[in-house]
Amino acid sequence: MDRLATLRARACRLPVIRWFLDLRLQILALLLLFLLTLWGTLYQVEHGLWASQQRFFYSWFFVSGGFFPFPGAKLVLAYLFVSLLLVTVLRLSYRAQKTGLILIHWGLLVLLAGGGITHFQAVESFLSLKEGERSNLTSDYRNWEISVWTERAQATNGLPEKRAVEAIDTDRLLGGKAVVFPDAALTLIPRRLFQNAMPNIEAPPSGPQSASGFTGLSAAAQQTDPAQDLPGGEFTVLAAGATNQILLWAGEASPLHLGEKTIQLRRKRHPLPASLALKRFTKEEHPGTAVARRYESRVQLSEPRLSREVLIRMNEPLRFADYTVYQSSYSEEEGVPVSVFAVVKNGGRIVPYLASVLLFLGMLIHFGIMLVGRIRRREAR
Amino acid sequence: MIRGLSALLLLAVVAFASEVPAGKVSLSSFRAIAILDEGRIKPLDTFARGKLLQFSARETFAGKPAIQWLARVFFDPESAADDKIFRVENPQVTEALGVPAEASLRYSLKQLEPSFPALQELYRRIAPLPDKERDPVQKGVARLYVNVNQYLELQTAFLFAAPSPTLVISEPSVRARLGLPSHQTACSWLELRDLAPNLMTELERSDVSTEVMLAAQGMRQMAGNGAALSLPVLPVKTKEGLRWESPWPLLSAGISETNLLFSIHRLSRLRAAWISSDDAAFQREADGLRQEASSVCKSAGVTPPLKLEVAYNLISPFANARILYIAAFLLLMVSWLFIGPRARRLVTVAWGVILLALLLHACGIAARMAITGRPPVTNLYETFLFVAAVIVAVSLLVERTLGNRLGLLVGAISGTGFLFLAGRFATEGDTLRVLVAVLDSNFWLSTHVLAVTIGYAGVVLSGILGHVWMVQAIRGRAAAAAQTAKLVYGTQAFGLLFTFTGTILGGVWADQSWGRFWGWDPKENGALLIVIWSAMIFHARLVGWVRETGFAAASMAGILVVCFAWFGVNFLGVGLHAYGFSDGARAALYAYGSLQTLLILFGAWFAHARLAQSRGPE
Repeated sequence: MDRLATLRARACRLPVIRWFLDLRLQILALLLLFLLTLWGTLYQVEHGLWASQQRFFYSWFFVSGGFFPFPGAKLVLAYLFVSLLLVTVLRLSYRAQKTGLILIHWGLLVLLAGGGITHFQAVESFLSLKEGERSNLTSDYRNWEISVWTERAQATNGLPEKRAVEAIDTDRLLGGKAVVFPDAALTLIPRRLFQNAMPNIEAPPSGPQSASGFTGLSAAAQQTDPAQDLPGGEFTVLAAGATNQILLWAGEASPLHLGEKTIQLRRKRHPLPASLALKRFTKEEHPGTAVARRYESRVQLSEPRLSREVLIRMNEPLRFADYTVYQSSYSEEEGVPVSVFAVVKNGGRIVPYLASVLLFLGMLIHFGIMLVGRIRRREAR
Repeated sequence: MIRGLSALLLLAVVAFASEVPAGKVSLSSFRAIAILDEGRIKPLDTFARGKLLQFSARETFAGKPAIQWLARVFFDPESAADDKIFRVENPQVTEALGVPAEASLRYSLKQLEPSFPALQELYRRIAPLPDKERDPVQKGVARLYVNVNQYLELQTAFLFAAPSPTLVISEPSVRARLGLPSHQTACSWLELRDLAPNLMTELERSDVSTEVMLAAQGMRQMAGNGAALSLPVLPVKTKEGLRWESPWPLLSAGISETNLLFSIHRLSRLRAAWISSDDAAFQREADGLRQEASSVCKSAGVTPPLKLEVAYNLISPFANARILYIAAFLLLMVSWLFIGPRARRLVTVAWGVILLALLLHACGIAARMAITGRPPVTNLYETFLFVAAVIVAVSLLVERTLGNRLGLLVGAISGTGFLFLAGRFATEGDTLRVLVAVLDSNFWLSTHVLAVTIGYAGVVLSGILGHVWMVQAIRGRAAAAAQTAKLVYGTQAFGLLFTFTGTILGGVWADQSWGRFWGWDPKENGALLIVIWSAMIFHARLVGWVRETGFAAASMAGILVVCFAWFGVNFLGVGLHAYGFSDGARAALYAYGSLQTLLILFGAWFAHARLAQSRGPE
């Protein structure tokens, strides 16, 4: 026991560890976090939430005014995490009387860890389902892919048959190098790429071909949140000995057919380990208004072993495996309701709950001990 | 608890409700008639207040309650058209419309009438612009256009029951054949509708009179115009629940349900009773309408507490609580002029007054909960009511412990101030309005929202006590200041505890509804700022960076942080929590922020110097 105490004391004197244990530095880190949070909030007025998150909160460093480097919230939080970890390991006295404080510190530690886990591995996407529709693919908000597949005749039972799709992330095109789709024996060479594009209606009619008939693309102003951008580009396609000039644009609903090959620029797909079918979408409005009071989706969830019916609504998501499916919004397509779900894959989604429990318990015990102490002192007087 | 407090409010209304019947009939039953407005079933009294507030930024007209004004608009539109109720703040709007400016900034329908074509044309041009992109003049025009249209809708709501100059049948023989009474020539739409078979026979005659043909034409025209006029006061039970119908569209569509037709005739008789000042008949018809609507509602499983809401409106618990808080404050001020038993007596009275104020305040909150069936805080307005109540309650606890009038003083000042702020926010429309889907969760509203709001109250109270500390320090009362400093510390800890708890609960709620625990949304950031600020000053005290003065000054600055989190982020108008956005108070907030900063800097410096001086000899 004594050896452990000596070890802890010795560790505390190590220069690097002293940095992390210095309460004054920790307060400065809190001050930095305060400033970043304030700044990042005000920044949202002009630039929106996404840009603010990237610049202030999800960055190690950022540059202000084109020159001054500034630590990002990620760095500050990482420092605070390590500090807290070292404090709990080296400094905190583990006595029964301090149970509350110990739990609070561990709770904070777990909370920060949970934030990190979510930040580094959670994947957010969405799923739009028409009533009667089924899918096991969700769409990314900001990442795009180019998919190529071979169109075959429909299966006789009327259902779309399974098809082998090759897809590459559009990020791979940024270098301007050719990309090969080996199964389809197709090569794609990017000519011009746009972060956000719109069809150019003044382009000559003899230009490259596209799925919806326009022959030119031009750059459009980028949105504050790239989720609202519709990228596009001009490509040369080499397939089956032929060379074609084509345009791909994210705003097109249907894919482009080149002989028996089909090619499309679309939001990156994420496969789910289960399929979801929208059985019924219901919406209730406050009477006499267009303000929705509540909306909900009755969904058939088919996992490999089990198929069950579930109800997803605001504040009551569906959780299965590492996935959580939230009722996000709704729209209507040709009179058929479309339900939009946000889908989050997060292996660490339980961590913040664990942290909350630790924190609440800690506060309860800490203030309980203080209260009891106070009452005893008063009685003693 | 809620029921008890609500019942108390109902009892109290008896004293207030014995109103003198201004106009010629008493409106006590009329004001409790149910209407569906903005998605909520409310009494006509609330509806009238809301409309008048919207048109003229006041809840009364010429010193009389809004319901009287509404009755005139319904039943005597001709005279009501002279009421100057349309508030147009921007003189450029009236200039553009060619209306001579009024010093009161309020205009009557008659004054605006000649400019309707110009108003229509201006609105047509700005209608496609989203509200955010409109300049103040365009906003003014749009608001006036909407207001005038809504007013016209109210004004024509009862025209089916009024004798109309386009429905004149003067020949006695024709009147006799139709079955019309002999004494009047102008008929009402409803009257002729009831005689439709006779009218048809009359139209088929070979010697049909021109008046009858014109009347039939007039009826068709009026029915066409009325088809879209909404005054949803007639509930109908359906399979899905309740549907609310308006008299005009029902009549235009050729209503067949006898019970609805009966109610429409009641409305007609209600109008007649008002015109002839027949109080007994007016009460009878209004009560009848109320009972019919309430039995339909009940059969559909809906029981809106309309009487309670009317009582709530009449008592105005928060306005009256504010008066009591002010009275308590004055009593305390006077008590400082005296010493000995006289001062003690004054303090006892102040205790009583402030307790009464808090009781009224709490009854008001309880009544709101009973009316909406919700926890106490669902919108920005309610945060003020709730924070005020929490601060006053905690201050009274402090007073009970210390007994040095400090708690009473802080309670009275905070109660007055926050209820005054609440009053400013009440002008933005129905404060009991319905909630958007994401807020439809009584569990989270009563945990996360309450915890954060109590946290706000704690941090603000700590800041207010910081001011008290500063005054004591500047006056050189070192011992008293030291005692106050302990309170500043304790309340700050209380605030941190609740804000922190609320923030964590908010994360859990966000995870439940939006799929992420934390997203750096402005409101989340606001709460986080309070937590960091508070945590920072506690830790800065540990390393000796701040002592008594620094802690008090930082607590005062904490009010600014709370202001930013509480409504500053709503002013920014971004993010998922932007439901409380408001335009007007921005400048006031900035001004307050600057003044408070100066006060903290100079006050702390001065207080510190004075304390050092007074403690010097030790």
